[in-house]
Parts: sequence; structure tokens; C-alpha cells
Amino acid sequence: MGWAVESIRGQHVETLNTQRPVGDLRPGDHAWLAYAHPDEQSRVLGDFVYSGLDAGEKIICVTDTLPRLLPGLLTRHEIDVTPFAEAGHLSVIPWNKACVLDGYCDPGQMAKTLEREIDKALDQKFNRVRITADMTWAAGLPGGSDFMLGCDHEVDSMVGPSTSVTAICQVDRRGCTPGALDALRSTHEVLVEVNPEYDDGVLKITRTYEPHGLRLEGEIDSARHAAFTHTLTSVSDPRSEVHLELGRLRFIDLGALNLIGTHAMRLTRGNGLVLDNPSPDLETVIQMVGFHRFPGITRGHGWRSQ
Amino acid sequence: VTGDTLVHRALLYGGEDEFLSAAVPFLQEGLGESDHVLAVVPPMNEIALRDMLGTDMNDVQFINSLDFYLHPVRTIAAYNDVVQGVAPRRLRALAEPNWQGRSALETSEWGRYEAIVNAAFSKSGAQVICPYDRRKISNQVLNGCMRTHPELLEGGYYPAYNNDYTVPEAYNSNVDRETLAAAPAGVDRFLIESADLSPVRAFITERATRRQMSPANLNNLLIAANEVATNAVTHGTPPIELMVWVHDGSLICEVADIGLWHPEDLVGFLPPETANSIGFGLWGARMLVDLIQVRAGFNGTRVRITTAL
Repeated sequence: MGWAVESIRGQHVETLNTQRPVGDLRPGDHAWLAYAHPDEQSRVLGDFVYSGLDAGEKIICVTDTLPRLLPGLLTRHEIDVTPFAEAGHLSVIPWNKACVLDGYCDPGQMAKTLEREIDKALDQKFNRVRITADMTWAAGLPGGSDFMLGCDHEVDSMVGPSTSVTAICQVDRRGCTPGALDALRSTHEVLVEVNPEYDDGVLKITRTYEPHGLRLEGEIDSARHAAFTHTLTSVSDPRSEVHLELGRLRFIDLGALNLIGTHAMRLTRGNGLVLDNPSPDLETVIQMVGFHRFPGITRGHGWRSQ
Repeated sequence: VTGDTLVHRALLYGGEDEFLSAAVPFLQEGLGESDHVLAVVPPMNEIALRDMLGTDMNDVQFINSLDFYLHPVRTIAAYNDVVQGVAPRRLRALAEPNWQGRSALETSEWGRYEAIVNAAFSKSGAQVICPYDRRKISNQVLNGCMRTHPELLEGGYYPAYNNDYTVPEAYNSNVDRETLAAAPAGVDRFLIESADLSPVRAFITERATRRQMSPANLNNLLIAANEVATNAVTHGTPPIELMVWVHDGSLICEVADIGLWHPEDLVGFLPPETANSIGFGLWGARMLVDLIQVRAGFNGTRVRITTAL
């Protein structure tokens, strides 16, 4: 277990969780996704289910939707997974079938359902099983938080020791109270996030949803300008702010600063590009060349000077 | 005011009286015309000016020239910030660079600075007198002074046109023709073969760290060297070679290729309006390190970066 710094609403909060892109999840991971935007959900879940099917793994989704409407498959990967459901590669289990016992939602019952499904899958010669559970429906109900925590506890004790099962529990963070979010986060060792948009071992660019924008990690130089421009354009919207999280950016060249400046003026129509948590060195560089030479850029969180 | 012609005069003085008799009316005239009046002078001259100005001195902004003239490119940028900051008022400056204890190389760069003032502020309407203490300056300083100021004040109130004045572009390219000291034998060499410059940065980091360069200086050097290397990779002709050595308390990084580069006149010295302006890269690199020297000719292009250890 490692220490990760997660940027929540722009503030640095130290949590005892590991943040991991969905593509890096491994058997035994019981990961949590508190999504802030449907696109975030469809990227994480779509990639999770798609790559599982691709690898010939069994997929079990506990959710109240049709297989073909599972997030991110039709929209992001352009496949209708109905044939996979019919062939038994994918099971979509509605919540009332998964967890209702004597008319009540019961976490223990859900555990039994999952255990049964996992055993069945491993008997059918699947080597690996991926589970997703969408709990957003419970968030707004009385006792919903306790139910979610109960389910998480059950899933955790089932997945944690396993060498063949990976699970993602998801909830729409907009439907949860901050207290419930904190409690749920603390029960998950792994926080799952979208796969990076770009990663060449030197620079990693990842979409962020709260705040909306990109997180840059590593080093940017001219060999990476095209990738940077491409991803920056893909998240830009003249109507909304775009945040660049720079806390883990070790090097940025003047050309990329120039790109940021050009971009701020063109795509967000001024004052829409917010730089968060620049390193002290980067802040010094920006001061030396003059912050006024970057019209359209706003200082966000973590600046020493204002 | 913007659009008005720059006035850039040298005042060659041989004593305090001569200095005051030109400087005081110049500053007072500015106060009368509601200019922003700035006196960047050594402490001795500040004391003399304050005595003569009386209550007027409260309206004059004094800056110690020993703290102001530290880095030619940054000084141009600082004056540029002042000009823009006081607009629409006009800037009137008594500007006396510090020439004592400068090496020949430093004197040459500060001479270039005086030349570039003519281009950087040509349409600012700024009124500038640069006092030179004839008793203290070397011939090299005097030669530079004569070639970088369109008008001279040599006794008397009215300026004389200066026939030795050279346009800044010509002065600048003359400075860039001065011979660079040869790199010593046994320098560390690295062949730059790709636009992916992370190995170049690692190479410099390793050598700078071994010589205990401060992290802040190293960060600035990496950005400047990366910029110069990017320029060579983008516009130069391979082979492109980086050489690193230590000279006189500084780490020298030189990027050489065999291409013929015509550095656009003065680009890289004039403060760009924004980060999106042409020349931001080279200018930014110059801002971050102690010195960048460009030597371009038919036998290739060399760009030498000097950073204090």
C-alpha cells in the first residue's frame, strides 16, 4: 500500500489509497471509482469491461441496465456486448436479483450471489473474473451509506485474497454526501482512474474530472508537444475552465509554456486555463519571464505568490 | 505618448558639477511635464542629486544602480515593465549603468544592452540620459558609449548629434563576431540525435549536480539548454553536439551544429509582448541564465550558455 496524493476539488488531500489507472488493475484489487462525470464513468468502466472481454475473462456487472447500455461500450468502444451476454462471457445482474433477501437489500446476500457467479465462472474454465457494481442508486436512500459500506466490506473480503478476481465499485459522487464519500474511500485500498491519454515513460497525461482538465506528470519537451496539444484540445471547451494539474510535472520547456499561452487565448477564450500546483522551480520560471506574458492563464491552487 | 520617439543621450561628465548641471534640469523638466521620473544612479550621485533637488526629490524615484544593472536582458525587461507600468505617462530616466569591475566580456554585453535600448524603446517616447563618468570608464566603455547613443551631452545644455552612432542591429552583430574562447581539451560531449531531449537533460543534470550547482540554477539551465537544443534539432543541421565544461566558477553548455543560422536581428533580446510572440523562446532562455552567446557563420552555429555554479 502506498501513499498517494489525490487532488480533490483542487486541494491536496493525503489519503492512504493507491491511485491506479484502470488498465493497471490486477487480480486482488478491489478498486473504487467515485465519478464526477458520466464520461469518467464510461471511460473507466468501458475500458475495464472491454479489455476483460478482449482477454477472455468473465465479466460480472451488478447494475440495473441492459448489457448493451453498459457505460462506455457502445459509445466508447463501439461494440454491442449483447452477444457476449448471451454466450455467458458477461453477466448483468440487476440489484434486486443480487441482494434482496426477504424483501430487504442485504450485503450478505449480494456476497452469496457474487460468490456463486464467481465459482460458476471459474468452473466454466474462465481464469479471471472482473466485477463491477454500480451503487449510485443506494446513495440517495435512507440507510444507503451503510448498505454500500456493507457491500464493500463483503466484496473486499472476497476479492482481497483472490488471485483471479478484480472488482470496481462505483458511485456517482454528485449523489453522495461528503461524509459518505470519505467513509467509502477509506474502505478501498485502490482508487481507480481513467487510463492515461498519453504515456511514453517520460510524460504522462491523464484526464481529470474534478476539476475538469488534465494532470501532467513527468517531463514535457518538443518531442511531446503534439501529444500535449492534442489532449489539451480534446478537453477544451470554450464554456468551461480547464485545469492543468502540475504537481508531478518535473520539467516543462518554454515551447510548452508558449503552447499553454496560445491555447489559453484560443480555445478557452481567455481566463479559462487554470494552472494548479506548479513546482517552486516552475513558478520561479514563470515569474522570471513575467506572468503578464501569459494572458488567459489563471493561477489556481498551490501558488506561493498571488 | 506611445509612438513618440525615444531620446537616448549620453552625458560624459568629468566631475560632480558637470553631472549635476545636466542631470538636475533634465529631472526637473520631467517633473514639470508630469513624466514618471526615475534616477538609477550610484549612491554618491544619488546623494548629490537629492541635495540639489530639494523638495523635488520626493517626486523622483531613486534606484541604486549597483542593484539594478545585474543582467542586461533582465534589465531591458525591467525597464520595459516600468515603461508599460507608468503608461500613459512618459518615462524619464537618468540611467547610469555600473561599469566598474566589469570584465571585457561583461562590458561588451552591457554595451550591447545600451545599443538594444535604442530598439526596445524606440517608440516609447521615453527620455533617457545615460551618465558616464569620464574619469572612471575604460576606452572599451567609452567606445561603446559613443556607438550606442544617438546624441551626446558634453558640457552645455544642448545635445550634439553623435556621428559615431551605429544602428543597434549592426552593433549587435558586431558583438556576436567577437571570438569565443575555445573549449578546453577533454570536455564532456553528447551527440544530440533526437527531438526527445530527456537524455540531454539527464546528461547536463549529472554534470551540474556533480559540481554542486544549486537546484534553482540547474532548473533554469535545463530550460535554457533544452530551448537551445530544441532550436538546433528543429532548424540546425546534424551532427548536433552538446559540450559541457567548467570555466571560472560557471558551467558552460555549448550546442553546436553545422547549419548556417541567421539569427534574426535583436530577436531574443527584446522583451516579447506575450509568451506567444516570436522570439519568446530565445529571450526566455536568455532571461533564465547568466549569458547566452550565439556565433553563427559558414562553419556552423554555436550557442554557448553560461550558468554560475
